[in-house]
Amino acid sequence: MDVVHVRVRSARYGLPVAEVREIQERGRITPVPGSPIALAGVRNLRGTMLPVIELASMLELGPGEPGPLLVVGQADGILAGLAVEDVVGVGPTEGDPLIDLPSIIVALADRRHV
Amino acid sequence: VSADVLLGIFRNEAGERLEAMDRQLLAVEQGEGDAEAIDELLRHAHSLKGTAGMVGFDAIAEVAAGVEDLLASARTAGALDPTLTTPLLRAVDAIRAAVEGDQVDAGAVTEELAPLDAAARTPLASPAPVARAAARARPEVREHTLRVTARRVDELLDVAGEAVLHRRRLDHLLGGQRSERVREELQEGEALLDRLQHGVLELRTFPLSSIVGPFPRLVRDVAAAEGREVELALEGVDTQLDRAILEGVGDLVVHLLRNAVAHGIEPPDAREAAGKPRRGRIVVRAESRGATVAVSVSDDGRGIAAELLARAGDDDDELVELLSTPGFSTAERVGQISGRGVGLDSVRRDLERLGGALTAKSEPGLGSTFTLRLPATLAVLQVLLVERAGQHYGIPLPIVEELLEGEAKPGEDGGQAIAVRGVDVPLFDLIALLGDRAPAAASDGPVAALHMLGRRLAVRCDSVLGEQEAVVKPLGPLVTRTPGYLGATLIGDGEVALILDPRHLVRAMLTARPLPAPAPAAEPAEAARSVRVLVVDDQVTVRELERRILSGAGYDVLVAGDGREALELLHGGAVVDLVVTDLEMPELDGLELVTELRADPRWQALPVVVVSSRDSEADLARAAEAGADSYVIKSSFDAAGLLETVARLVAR
Repeated sequence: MDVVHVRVRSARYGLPVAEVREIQERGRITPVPGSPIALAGVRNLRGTMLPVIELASMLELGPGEPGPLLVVGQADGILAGLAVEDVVGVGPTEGDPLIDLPSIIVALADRRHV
Repeated sequence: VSADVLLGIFRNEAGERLEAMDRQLLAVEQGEGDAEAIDELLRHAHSLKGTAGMVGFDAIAEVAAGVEDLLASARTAGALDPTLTTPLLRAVDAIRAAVEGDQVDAGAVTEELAPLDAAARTPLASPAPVARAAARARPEVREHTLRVTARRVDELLDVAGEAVLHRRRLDHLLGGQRSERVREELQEGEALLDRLQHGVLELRTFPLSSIVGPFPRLVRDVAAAEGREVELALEGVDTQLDRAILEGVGDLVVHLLRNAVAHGIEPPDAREAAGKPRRGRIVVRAESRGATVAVSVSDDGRGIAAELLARAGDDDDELVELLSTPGFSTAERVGQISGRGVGLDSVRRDLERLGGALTAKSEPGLGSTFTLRLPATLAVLQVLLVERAGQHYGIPLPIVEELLEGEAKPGEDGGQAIAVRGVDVPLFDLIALLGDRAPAAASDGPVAALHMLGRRLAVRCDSVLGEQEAVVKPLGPLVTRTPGYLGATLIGDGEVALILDPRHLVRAMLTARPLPAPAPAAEPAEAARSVRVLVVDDQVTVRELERRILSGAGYDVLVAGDGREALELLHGGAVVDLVVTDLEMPELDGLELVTELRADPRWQALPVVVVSSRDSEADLARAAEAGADSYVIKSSFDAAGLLETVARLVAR
């Protein structure tokens, strides 16, 4: 399976290519007061509201700089931007741990991760 | 065309046909099973059989064929025996289940239908009345319709919204330097954009009739199960509602209908003993009231127990509050005999999510009415844009009572308060109400006084940017779990502003801490408030022109598209010092607006300026008679004249 390799807090992770829609600059993010910490806010993506998830925070990697790039992924029909430090490339997993986007989305939607 | 798309289309079509069959079979049950009814049923069964076969739904095709055979036999008899409706309805249910993807034993269903063939061929002793058939609806002139997915309409709405933003940027770039010609073209463009946006919004609305299909069947089934006799009437079902609201409202009405049949309507014998007809009557009624739609479910049953009504006093809201408190009194048993029904708390919760409210009315022994009040559209909202901690927020305009500037004073509970029209109202930091923190706002920053759900509060922010018509975009499933927002809108250069949910603000004020009281030495400054003018005109260009003239002169301006909207703003708590209104408007015209205002003690003395293109003596006299204070003729309209008139009336 091919994945998009991303870097978060200097560690590498893979996102299944099938779940990735596009890569975007972080852009201007509007925070949503009262939402889980890992939810950085919403961003205007061609007229629709894209929720942005701080991947480092979601993976509980401790404090640090917000990710300057967004990997826009889609799982279960829900679009979300994952903020990462860098996008390294596309290729076989090479043993990188996989990001489970559907679980992240479910966890946030259920507010299990606050 | 992919298989999925084909299946989707079939599901849609089948759903409509099955609903039509339900409806027709119920009519047959009431003794209207004439040849015309059979023909319609046959047509639906035949089409279902054909299409199901084409897309490979063999089980559906088989059941539909069984139904078709039985109906064909009935046609030779000229009428459909009402006793055949129950097995036919069961077959329709089986098809419906198969369409939904359930495994259905088609053989078992058709085996049940086959032996009824002889009964179907036997002519009825008394043929179905001919008069009824003649009285039925004349054939309608059919308009062509297109099937478009909701997603595509929403995409169009997004594009229209982007175009409006683009237009604003252009406006900004041009600045004040523009020729007469450019100005005219821009105005024309704005009017066109407005039409486009509203046109697309209308595409999102559907009549209530699009969801009432299953209601008659549901009422019949519940009545049969509960041993009740009930007739259902549907009124005003052509009332239009936003698709998103419509989707949610169906289940709520179903819930209220179940309650009405099971807990409202008495058993036939009890009704007879009480001197009522054995058969109870339930009316589902929809009614448009400007920006809101009321959908009510009324029954002529036993009503809510007098004891409960007494506790609620004469207050509809209080009654709902009492009825929907979970675990109120000793629950179900009381629910059954008090006629209050069950599960109203969940109805109310779901309704609030749609931005609606529930009210109840009842007369013991005579029946009850539950009314759902819903916004007609979720997609566009007038908001006041404010800024706090570097972010923009939209506050729905109907809840904004007024804008204040000035120092706070100590309130009752140790927090800050601010005087709004002579009443002390608790003052909160906007960001604290939303459950977050930020460096304190300036103690002399602007304050928005809000009034909703019978409560008042004031919020401090950093700055106020003005009003805007906001196209509300959903925040999506990840964010909607965070309470507090109706959605978001795009402002200026594509920045996102969150739109606040009034209901959440009320909840939050009960738990959030008001701003700490200032040092007692602080001298409370006189709260300065700019004069607010309400501009009412159905033409965007005129409205916008008047708005610019007035806000340019320092007035705070509210706008409304017609008299109805204006009244709603005022009833919603908007406080204005003067009204500028057009005469010719849809819904409620200028004269009617003035008459309504003068009839209400709150607005008897509110100055009203009429701006109209009508210039006859008679029109002037009529306006004066209705109670207008001044009359400006559009042909001789100039900014200075309007400002002079407004200043004079405000000073009075």
